[in-house]
Amino acid sequence: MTMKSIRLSPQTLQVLDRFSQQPTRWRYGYELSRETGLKSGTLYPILMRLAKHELLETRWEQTEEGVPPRHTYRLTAKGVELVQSERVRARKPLATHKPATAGGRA
Amino acid sequence: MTPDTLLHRLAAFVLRSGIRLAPAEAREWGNAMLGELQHIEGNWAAVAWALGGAGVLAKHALVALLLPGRNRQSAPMGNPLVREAKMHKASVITGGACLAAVLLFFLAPVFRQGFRVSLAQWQSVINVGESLFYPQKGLESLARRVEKRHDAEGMAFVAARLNNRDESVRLANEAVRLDPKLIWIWGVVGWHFSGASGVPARIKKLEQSDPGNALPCLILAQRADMEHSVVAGGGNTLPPASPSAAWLEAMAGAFSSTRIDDYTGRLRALARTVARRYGLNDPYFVVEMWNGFYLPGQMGLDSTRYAMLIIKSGEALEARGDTKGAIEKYLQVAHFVRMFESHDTYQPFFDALMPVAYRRLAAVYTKMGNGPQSAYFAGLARTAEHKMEQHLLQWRSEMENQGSIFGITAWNQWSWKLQTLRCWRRSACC
Repeated sequence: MTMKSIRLSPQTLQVLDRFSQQPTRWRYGYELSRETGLKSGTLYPILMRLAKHELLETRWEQTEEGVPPRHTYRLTAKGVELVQSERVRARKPLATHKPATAGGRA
Repeated sequence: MTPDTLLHRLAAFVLRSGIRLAPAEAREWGNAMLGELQHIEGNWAAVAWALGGAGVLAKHALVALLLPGRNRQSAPMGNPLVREAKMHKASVITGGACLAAVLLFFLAPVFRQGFRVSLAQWQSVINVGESLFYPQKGLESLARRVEKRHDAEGMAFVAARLNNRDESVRLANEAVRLDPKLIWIWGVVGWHFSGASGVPARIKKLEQSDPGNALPCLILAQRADMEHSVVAGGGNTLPPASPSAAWLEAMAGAFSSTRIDDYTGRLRALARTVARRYGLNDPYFVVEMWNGFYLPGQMGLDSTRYAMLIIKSGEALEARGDTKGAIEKYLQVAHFVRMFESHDTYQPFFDALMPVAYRRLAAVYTKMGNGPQSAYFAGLARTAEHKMEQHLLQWRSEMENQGSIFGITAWNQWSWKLQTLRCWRRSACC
């Protein structure tokens, strides 16, 4: 299947767009949820798919004593390559940034 | 870290439950969502996060359950978005299959019956198209079948349900001609179409074959009322100012009857027989259209008018000192009303009449110095008044709690109307 026949959901584009802004930075799930405005039920299936296809790497991070570790994510080299090729194809930003309004801290 | 509130604990419990249900490959992601939960400040935001996450895990659990052999780890390498398109196609296929499965239910007669019954309660709210009750097109086709077979019971069944007056009367006559035992069907068709030609003669025959039944007399009274009714303003018809001789004769017959049989029992038995014989699956062919009301519509008004005439004549006799004659008059009213005591549907029509008759009887016996009889009738009057109050309270409660006689709650009516308004606005906008 060629790249032209690929169906890109707007939500997946939003997530990829957030990662591509700082490709080397590790990000938290809740942080991504706030930045993209996506609920957990939408965001995590996207992260799971991207990770399964090795576009995203994951790691566990221990932040505080007695607090469960946090799962963090960043694009792999393959992921960065996909985002760049998509940008070239579209000749525009992958998705419009939609800041979330939910409270909390990442 | 966020405070350990009840809602946060509930959210964590929901997610942990999801993790327990999830297949091995999805558990890590469940723990990832659980780890993030500790950093969400709002209580309800945490609950929403947990519910969304639990939904994702439940979906994975369901897929693992339905496709146990599927290796979730061996997804094809390459572009994940290709896979997304495949998933989309699979969703469409699954959705289509579910829809087809739902439509297959309609092949089952029992399901169709249940579905039609469930629509009935909306009939009075939607109020569109042909009535759900006694679908006339189906009845017309059934009429052709029963006539072809010269089936008297089938003809009687259709005659009791057709809205077409001439056709209904013709089928009833033919049914009685083929099977004279079905003469009672004239009682049903007669009250439905009491203005049809030939009704008085046939009802007289019914009266002879079913002596003591008040129904034929009540039909004749309604017929006499219709012939002498006065058209008032707004097109409303009012009973004539002075009763006609035919009406008085018919009502005298009704008040001297010994019982009231509306033939409901026979109608039900007939419906069962005919429905089985012709394999009728539509519940509205056999259901009772009139909510168990099988007496002439004017029955309540006619009976009350005639009862008041009798009470007045009793009072006149009392004034002349004929207490025995007065008692007979009042007892005649009480006897007539008591005929309806076993019919819950009709009883409320006479709620106000019974106490009047009993109070008059109590007063006469007091005048005669018969204390025990007076107390007896006074007690009956109190019981009748109590019953009347109970019916009134029940009626008020039904009116407050229900939007219609079909049992639609006010809330359901409101929500339906809101939906209709939204659809209308959407179509108006676009």
